[in-house]
Amino acid sequence: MMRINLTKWIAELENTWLDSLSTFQLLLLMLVVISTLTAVFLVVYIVVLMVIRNRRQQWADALQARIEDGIAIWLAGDYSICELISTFQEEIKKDSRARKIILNVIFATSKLFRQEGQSALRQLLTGLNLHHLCYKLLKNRHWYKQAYATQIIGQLQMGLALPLLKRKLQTKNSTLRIELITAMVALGDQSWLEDIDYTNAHLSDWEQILLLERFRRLNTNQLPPFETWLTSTHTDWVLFGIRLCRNFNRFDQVPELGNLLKHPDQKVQIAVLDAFDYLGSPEAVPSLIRYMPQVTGDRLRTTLRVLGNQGDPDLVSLLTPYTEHPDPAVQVSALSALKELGLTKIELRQLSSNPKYIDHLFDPKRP
Amino acid sequence: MNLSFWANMLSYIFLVYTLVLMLIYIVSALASYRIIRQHVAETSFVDFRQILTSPLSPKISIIAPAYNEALNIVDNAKSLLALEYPNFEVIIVNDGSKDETLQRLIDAYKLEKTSFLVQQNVECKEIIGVYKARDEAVSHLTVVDKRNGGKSDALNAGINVCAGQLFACIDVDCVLERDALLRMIKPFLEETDQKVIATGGVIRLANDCVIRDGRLIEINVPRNLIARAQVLEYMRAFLLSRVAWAKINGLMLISGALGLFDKQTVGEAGGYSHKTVGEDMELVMRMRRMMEERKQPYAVRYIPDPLCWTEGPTSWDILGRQRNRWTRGLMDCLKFHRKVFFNPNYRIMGMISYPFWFFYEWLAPIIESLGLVFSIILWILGIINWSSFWLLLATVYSYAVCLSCLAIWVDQKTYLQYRSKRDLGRLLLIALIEPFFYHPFTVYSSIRGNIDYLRGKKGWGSMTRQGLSKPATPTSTS
Amino acid sequence: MESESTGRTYTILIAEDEALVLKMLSYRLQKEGFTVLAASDGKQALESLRTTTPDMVITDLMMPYHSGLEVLEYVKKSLSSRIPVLVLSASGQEQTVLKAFSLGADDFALKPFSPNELVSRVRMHLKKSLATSNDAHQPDQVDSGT
Repeated sequence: MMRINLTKWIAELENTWLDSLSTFQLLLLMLVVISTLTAVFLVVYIVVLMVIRNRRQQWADALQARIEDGIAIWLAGDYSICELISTFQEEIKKDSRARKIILNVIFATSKLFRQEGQSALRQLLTGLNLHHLCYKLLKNRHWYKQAYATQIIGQLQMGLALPLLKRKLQTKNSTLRIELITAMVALGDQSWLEDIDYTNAHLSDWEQILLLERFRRLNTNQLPPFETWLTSTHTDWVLFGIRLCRNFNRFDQVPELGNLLKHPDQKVQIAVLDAFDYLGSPEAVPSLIRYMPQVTGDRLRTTLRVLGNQGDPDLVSLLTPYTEHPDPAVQVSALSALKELGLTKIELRQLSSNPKYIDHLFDPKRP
Repeated sequence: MNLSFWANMLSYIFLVYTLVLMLIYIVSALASYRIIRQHVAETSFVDFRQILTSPLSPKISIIAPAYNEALNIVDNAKSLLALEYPNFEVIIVNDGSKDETLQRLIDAYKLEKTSFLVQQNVECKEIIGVYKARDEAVSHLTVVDKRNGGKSDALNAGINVCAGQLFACIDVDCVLERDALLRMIKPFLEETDQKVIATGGVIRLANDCVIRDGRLIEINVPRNLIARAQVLEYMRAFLLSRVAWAKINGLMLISGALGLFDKQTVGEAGGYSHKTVGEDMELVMRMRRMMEERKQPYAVRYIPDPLCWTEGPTSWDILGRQRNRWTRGLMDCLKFHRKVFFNPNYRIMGMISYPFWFFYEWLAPIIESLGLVFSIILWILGIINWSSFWLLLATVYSYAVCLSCLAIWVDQKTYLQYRSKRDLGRLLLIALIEPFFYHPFTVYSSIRGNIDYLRGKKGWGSMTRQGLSKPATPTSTS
Repeated sequence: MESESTGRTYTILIAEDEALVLKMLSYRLQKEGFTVLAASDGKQALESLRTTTPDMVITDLMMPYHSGLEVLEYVKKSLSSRIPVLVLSASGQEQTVLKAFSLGADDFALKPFSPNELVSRVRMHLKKSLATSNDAHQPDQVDSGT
């Protein structure tokens, strides 16, 4: 009865109102209906999402607390690993989603320990068969899940997974690539150096910053042989090599760095100057002296500063001509360098035509 | 050719106009969503605090112009100095304040005048003095005192004084997230085949949010309805639109409340312009034009993470003046750079961005008002087709609500800034009523802006301290 | 840690916002025989300090509501400067270390750390604080434990 009434009503509607509408108006009506339905759909989605998320979050939080307690007690020595494994396996039996959470907690725990403490956690991982979950994540279609699995493998020192990581090195995703390199270096494998696609994989400054931070946390014997990158044909890697030499205080590489001042790329030259600035090695002086006449602007100013910081009074005669350089900024840098080399205020006054520069140099609040 | 025919014709044109806008918005919304998801996933692998000690990070100078901010200036300075970044300096430019802004800073940090060599790279009014502190802990603070010249002038002075490779222009009363700078340098360092000349960040409204010690502790949807409507508006603009524009390298506006710029490029472009109130947009457009004319590959990027919190206007009065100013700024920008309009030499900026801003950001309020006037005329003449009229209104309304819901949905799926049921309820409610009270007002302010512009009004007008909001972020009207 | 002569158990307050680290330390130290007060953020830590005076404090630096430095300051200024405070941190930035020591921290440990190492540091500090405490008491026999 109801159905017949409804169809009758719709038919009437069609016959009277809808028919009277022009195409224009029908179009509008369609748009209204689409918009409204979409809006309703979105609102329902949001509400449902919120409800599910809250509920799931509560369950996950409670489970995580239990897992953390278990691990903490085990680490304190009051649980044996077998007891812990069987407790966790019961959780997994109750709900298979617990596997992911347990994996997360084990990973978080592993980050609290250095290399030596990883074997016990690895035992726990394999005892629960979670290493297979890791391998599965490595093949996931989302790159960020692969990157996460890579982090776990590197952190927990899962050496068996090394071949799986190697296969992924050609990836175009830079974040994933960084994670792969980090993990492989942590596992002590430097073969990635050959597998990396140097022509396509530009090493941007951002990637260099990230990798540098990862390398800093390694032991010295784990570091890749970055000094060999100084002679690479790829500018990015040369740059990275220079920066790593600076950061790891590789004084032995100073002569090689000096050679790089002849490199055509300005960024490379600037990086070398920065390295010399930091390392302060007198072996750098000859190459700097050769370099100085060829450059202008900021590079010249940095060179002057580095030479000034050498503290070698023989350099005074070399730097003095620059106090009359056409660029006023260079003049100031030259005067500053000469001040560092020990010249007094009076001597500097004789060299410079602009007394304001001298006053500025001797201002105690100078930045 | 009778009136009905013309009425129909115009209706169709109006419909096509609206449909194209809807299409653009839907496409950019979906694109933005994907980009934000990718960005959030990528940054989850970056421990920004690790980069804190990295010597490879470029030096950033933060320039904050201040005018008559004596009330909060020390707090603001404190929060800026506490930002997490290894290599940065803070430059507060006192733009000839008539109150004790400068004195408060001098007292708080024991500043002393220094002999500073200022290079006049870009034009600015006379700098009276440069102050620094003896205390090592605040050695990265510089206060510049200069003659009053307006915001652009103050920013230019800051550019002349700063030593960083990049400079961040921020509003002194905004609260930045601690790792804002760390996040914003990413585009500058990431791109290898083109030069990133500027990066923008997302501005969110901090009305009724709990801020302590310059840190955001609690996020709430504001109680004030005007502020609430703005929250929604900002969400729509930033989450659904800006990100997509940045991806196709079509972004022409970086909000004055938070932007990171390459100093050298800005210097070469001539710094901020004194001739307009929309100086933030005008600078970006000019920088882009310069790079296009030089045929150098470049990009203007955007970070979707919410990094900057500001107080939005809570009264109609101040809101009206703000929107009026934005419209006038927009018109200035469109006028100064009309050469790029559909000019293939300017590629995306000329063929897509500028036309979009011209037709949809500037003309939309005008067309809406004309549509209303037109309908009234039809009504008076008695030939109005009520079905069409109501259907048209219904279309626009349902679409506006749909878009708001989409913005809320994207937020829920990505950043999840508003978690509680109460906040969500408030947002949905405002989505439903906003087209009735808020939107007409912004259209009205826009029209006023147009009229004032044609009359030759310049300048900011008087703004009161409370609720002063400077981000010039014109959003697409819909 | 029980002293053979007095049989006293020592109370240690741990302030740490990472639940895992907090639990790990709590259980481990409890196992070693200490009484542990756990606080998962700065606010709880300060509240706890207002009611009980621990014998030692281990605090993380980055915590919600009040940072470890504020906790450190409170202990040293309002309670007693003899209570040893060990500061834990994930970042070994020079400025942070200097600030912590300038406020009176007795030790600074970087994360990741070894729990064994931490336990022996705790014992060492308690032993030192005992030795420098009131000379009227007989120097206690401190069990330097295994």
